[in-house]
Amino acid sequence: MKQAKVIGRVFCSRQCCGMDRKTTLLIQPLDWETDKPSGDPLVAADTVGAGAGETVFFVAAREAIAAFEDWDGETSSRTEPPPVDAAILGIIDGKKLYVHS
Amino acid sequence: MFIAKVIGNVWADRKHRELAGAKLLLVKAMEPGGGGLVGESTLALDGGFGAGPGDAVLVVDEGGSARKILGNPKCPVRTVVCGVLDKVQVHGKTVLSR
Repeated sequence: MKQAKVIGRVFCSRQCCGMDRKTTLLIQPLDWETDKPSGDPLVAADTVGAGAGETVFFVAAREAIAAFEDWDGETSSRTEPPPVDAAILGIIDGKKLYVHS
Repeated sequence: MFIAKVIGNVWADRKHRELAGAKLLLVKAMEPGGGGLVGESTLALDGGFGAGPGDAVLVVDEGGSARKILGNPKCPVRTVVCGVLDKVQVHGKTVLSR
């Protein structure tokens, strides 16, 4: 799981099944030790209500879908898991590095 | 799986419901021969083996196994600390021991 900064939001009205009512955010992955950008920005689906400028951690690949399984959305009807490949899992409050390499 | 050193920890109040109460550790892969650290550090969940900062640990980086270790089939994670290392031998030489 990687650290990232929320740099924007992506709006898309015509999209695939299961993607409706999900917030998609543009995030810039950061290195855990230096907090410097690492790699290209990407679009991730939000699970925690992160906002612009916040530092978050996210999971990529198949596990991102697991973040949404049995997700009910804002309505009570059961929804299909969305086809996402990155999911924001938490907002980072702080971190401490004990060993410097 | 890879061997790594716990280099720090992260705290987050607001996180995915399946991660409630989870201990978040920063790990960085260790060079098998020398004990130096290589690659990019990554966030891993503690699998319940009491790993702390500075410990050499075994890390699994695959979702299915990660969920099995945590005993939670819904947990959206792929990197989990699955053991604390006692000793590593390379070509018959002990390169790391507790």
